[in-house]
Amino acid sequence: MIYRDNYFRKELRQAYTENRTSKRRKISSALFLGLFSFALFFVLQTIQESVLADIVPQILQPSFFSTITIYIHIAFIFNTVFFIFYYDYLFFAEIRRNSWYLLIQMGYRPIIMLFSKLSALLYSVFLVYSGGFLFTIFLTIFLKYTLILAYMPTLYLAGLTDIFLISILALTFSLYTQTVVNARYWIFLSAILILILKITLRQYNILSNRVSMQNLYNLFDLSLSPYMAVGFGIMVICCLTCLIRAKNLAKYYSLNSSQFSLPANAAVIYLDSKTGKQILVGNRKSPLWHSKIIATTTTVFLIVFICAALVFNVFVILINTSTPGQEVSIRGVIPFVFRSATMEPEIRLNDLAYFQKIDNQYPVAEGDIILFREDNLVYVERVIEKTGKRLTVDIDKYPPMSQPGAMLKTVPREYVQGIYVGRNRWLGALILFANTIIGRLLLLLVPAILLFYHAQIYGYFKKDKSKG
Amino acid sequence: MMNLPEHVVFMEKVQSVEHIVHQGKEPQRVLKEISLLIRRGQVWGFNGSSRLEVKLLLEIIANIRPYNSGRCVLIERGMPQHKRIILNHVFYIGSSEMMYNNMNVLEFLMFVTAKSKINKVELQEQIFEFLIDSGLGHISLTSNNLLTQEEKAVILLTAAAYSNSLIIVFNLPEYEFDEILVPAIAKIAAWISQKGKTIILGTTDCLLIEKACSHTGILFNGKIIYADTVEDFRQKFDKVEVIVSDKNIIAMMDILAILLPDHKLSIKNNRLMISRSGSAESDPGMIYQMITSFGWIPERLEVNPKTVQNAYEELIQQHDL
Repeated sequence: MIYRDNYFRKELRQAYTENRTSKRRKISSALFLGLFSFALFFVLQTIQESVLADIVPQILQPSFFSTITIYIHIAFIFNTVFFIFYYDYLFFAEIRRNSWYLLIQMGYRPIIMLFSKLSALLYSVFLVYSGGFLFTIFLTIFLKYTLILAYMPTLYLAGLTDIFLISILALTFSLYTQTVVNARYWIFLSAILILILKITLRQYNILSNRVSMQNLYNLFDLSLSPYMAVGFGIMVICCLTCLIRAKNLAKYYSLNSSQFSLPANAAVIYLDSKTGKQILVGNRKSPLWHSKIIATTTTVFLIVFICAALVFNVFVILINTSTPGQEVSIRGVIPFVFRSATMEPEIRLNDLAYFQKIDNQYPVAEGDIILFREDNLVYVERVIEKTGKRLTVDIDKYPPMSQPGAMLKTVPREYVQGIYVGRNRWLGALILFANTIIGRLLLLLVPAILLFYHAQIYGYFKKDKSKG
Repeated sequence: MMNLPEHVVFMEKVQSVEHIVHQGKEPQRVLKEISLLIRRGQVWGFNGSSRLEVKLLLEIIANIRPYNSGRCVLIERGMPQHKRIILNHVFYIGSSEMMYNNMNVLEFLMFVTAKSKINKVELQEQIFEFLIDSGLGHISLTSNNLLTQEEKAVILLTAAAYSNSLIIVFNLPEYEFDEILVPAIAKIAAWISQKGKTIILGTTDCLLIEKACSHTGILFNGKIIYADTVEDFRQKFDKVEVIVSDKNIIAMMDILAILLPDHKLSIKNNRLMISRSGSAESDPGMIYQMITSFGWIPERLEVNPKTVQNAYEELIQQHDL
């Protein structure tokens, strides 16, 4: 085999030693993204009847719109993670490693390398994103939802813009950051910045609206959202910055990789013979306190996360064991996942409702929502009338086709076990998710894996720091 | 190559900007009054008591770091004001990180030499054969990320050999090259030298200097204490003439001290070293005859091959005193 590589082909290969492997990786990434988004759509369907239905209805509807919306977000997250992991291969870190110095000495032109790198990166993300997009559509066809082509180009373009934006931002940051660790932080922050921009510039208002997404021009309508204009502006500025900065950096040999080997108690300084001023040079290792902060933060984060996940699991188990007649009380409060719409809008379907445990002396007033037990069954209803030791209760909302007043009843005061004090919609959704197979696996497996591999995780951060 | 300048590096009383500070001591200038002349086609190896001194000297030569005072001229053109700027005539290798990890050795060399006008098929054959000749055939198809930093450095040197740079500075005194890589460097250095280019190695490996270099420069306490040919260095400073091995080495030393009053005797690694004292010439054959005339045959007697290592130790010892 004769090797006829050029710089563009090398860039297309990314982190892999063979072009063929890289091509396969791109195809498999696209398929994985499509499949993962499709699977996530089904997982989200299990918590459809929760607060999510009000907050993000666009990802819970039985339509192509939902699967594709999930896909464009998953593709964005995947690319961010991919950039963080393969930073060394994808961006301009090679200039600081003097790889360009070598190539320039061998006759390569920096400007050609710059454009090759940029175009190879954008081409790769475009390929993976487009492949995944088509695969998601293909998978959704099996669900026999109505295919509305009108919003496909708009969704496609919205997702692609985000990915191009993060790619170009990461490329630009790689020219300014000295260490790999800092560059990774910057990529992560860029992703957050893009999400914030989308929210503040009302881009999500367009994305979540199926009607407005049917018109491609709405994406570019400045009166609706200036996000696309701002995004393109940032991309142009970043490309120009890359052009100037990369060309400038490529003129010099970088001393980053050149370290003096010194005894432990020695340092190299520049000494100004006139002023006597001393400047420390070379071996600028991060101070000990800096490493300690990183180590402590990582450890504390891991401990807090593992503990929180374990506590949450215990909480979910307790709530699940709460059966009629054996309600679990935590510090005098009975948490109760409300799996009914009978008390809407006060308590909505799958909300986590809290009932304060009360004794027979507690004054129950008209209008209170109470938890009571009758014939070994637990009911939640509102007090509409109070007559001596007897309470007349009814539900707030009767389901369609049911007879109003069917649940109206009078119960003795001593049946009352708790009084409604509040609810948490998000916790309700989380418990709902925790009770699905995927949720159970995630919430139990993740802390377990973190607990088992905490040393390796800590080691990874430590290694990156030393590399940086 | 006919019109190329003869003097590729000329340094006159160059002093470094950098000072080294040891805890509780006054700062000392790292390089002091360095004067040096390196000619075209020579292979220089710099060694010294401190890696820092060697590294810094070669960085100044390659225009990577500035110097405080003195004069430094590269290929008779002077030295640019801008430091670290890429110079076509100087190829600097200061670490092995510049190598791409996502390709194998042969592919990497083909990639970096892609701008060469040689036919690609011929070029690949040429590179492949060169790797085999240099003893690097076993890693020619190995992925770069599996190589040691020393192996990577040698591959980078091979790449540099294909460049048009007149001076190649291989500044890796912190690397330790094994018995496979030292001959490979020697082979590459010889090839570079044949093309009329100059190669300057920074190393603490005396064997590398012995095998690969025509000239050597020794640094001690920031100053150059020797700068001339390797051959001269070995002959001048490795004064051991004969090495004798025997069970009764101590008794033998007492007897030989009487027989060879003009020689210095010492025991090193259970071996008796017989050195000439002063600058007087000595004949190993005569020493052998003296020993055998006494009627005593040692277990092993060898003529010292004169190594750079011994010469270096002797030179450093002289200056350390």
